[in-house]
Amino acid sequence: MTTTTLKNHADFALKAELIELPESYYDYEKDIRYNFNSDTIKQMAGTNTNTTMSQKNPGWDGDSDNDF
Amino acid sequence: MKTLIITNSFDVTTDILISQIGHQHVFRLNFDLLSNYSIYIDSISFLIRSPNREIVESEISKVYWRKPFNFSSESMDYEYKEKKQVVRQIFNILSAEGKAILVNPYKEFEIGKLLQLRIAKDYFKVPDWELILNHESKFSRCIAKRLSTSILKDDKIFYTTEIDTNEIDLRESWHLQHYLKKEKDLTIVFVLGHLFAFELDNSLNEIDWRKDQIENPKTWKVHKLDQQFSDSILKYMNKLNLDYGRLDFVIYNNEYYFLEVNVNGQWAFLDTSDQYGLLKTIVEYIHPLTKSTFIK
Repeated sequence: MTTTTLKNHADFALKAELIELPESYYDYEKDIRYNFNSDTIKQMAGTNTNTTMSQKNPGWDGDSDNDF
Repeated sequence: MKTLIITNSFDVTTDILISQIGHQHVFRLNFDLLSNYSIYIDSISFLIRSPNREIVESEISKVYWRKPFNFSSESMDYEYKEKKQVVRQIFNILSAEGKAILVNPYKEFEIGKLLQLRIAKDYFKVPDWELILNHESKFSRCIAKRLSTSILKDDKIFYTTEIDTNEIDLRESWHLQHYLKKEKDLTIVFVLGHLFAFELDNSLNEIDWRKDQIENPKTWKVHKLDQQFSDSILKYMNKLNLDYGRLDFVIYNNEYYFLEVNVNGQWAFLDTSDQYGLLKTIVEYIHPLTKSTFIK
């Protein structure tokens, strides 16, 4: 007799891939992060994943603020 | 006067906004760098000082809630939660003064995923759905979606996924939806009555387009909306009392099916170079010296 193991959310979840970001620093004078060149910005903004959480978890859409 | 943008230091959308609005018109409060700011709040006013600049409450004409908490934190301890409250209190004070624009983050809780679907059926076609916990599903194969944005153990993400309900553990809660083999994704940014619609061909047949967006970024194309559908969106957003939102639909058999509205949905990725008027419109509302409608 075989036993079927039922699946939960974790069984369907996928491992997030890391995006490698260039070295950067935050410029308080201009209030932007530096060394994000235009390609980086395009990649980040262009993929709807423009936060650090998203950088770590690029598929995470960053749309919701459930933890507000 | 300045606009206070509450966000994090990696938020490229805010970089773009500052480049458009002008640094002198914006004060940026980055939650991830909060230890580098000094903050004083009392019964009369508040002061926020970054390493290079400072701002007092009376200098702020608008506050825009971006993405302060959207980053990975090693710490979710007591101190972290207390600091989250600090930026919430600043937002609350300014919001009570009628200075908050576009995004009301509390709406996320108020509307949630399911209530917005219920209300949407009065305005749009909505794929059949259910939420089950310790209960049989009416579906056999369907789509499973998450209600929250939580990350699972080992940095795993539960994307929108096609499942067989005979295989799932009903002791967990499941938000399930009828699977439509979509022809296109459609996303529409609503900014105080202005609509910016973009479509994405379903060439890769991904159920959740966000899965593959780093390796294979997709190109969203402008989508023309007809008047009747536009009117439905305006009525729906009015019903939800939202000044801003990004609505997601799928196109199936040449008809629009509502999926969800994100009350603080990302938008800059759709118009990074200000080609379609979206960036310009949002800049206009955020600029501290322009007239604005404030959230109620």
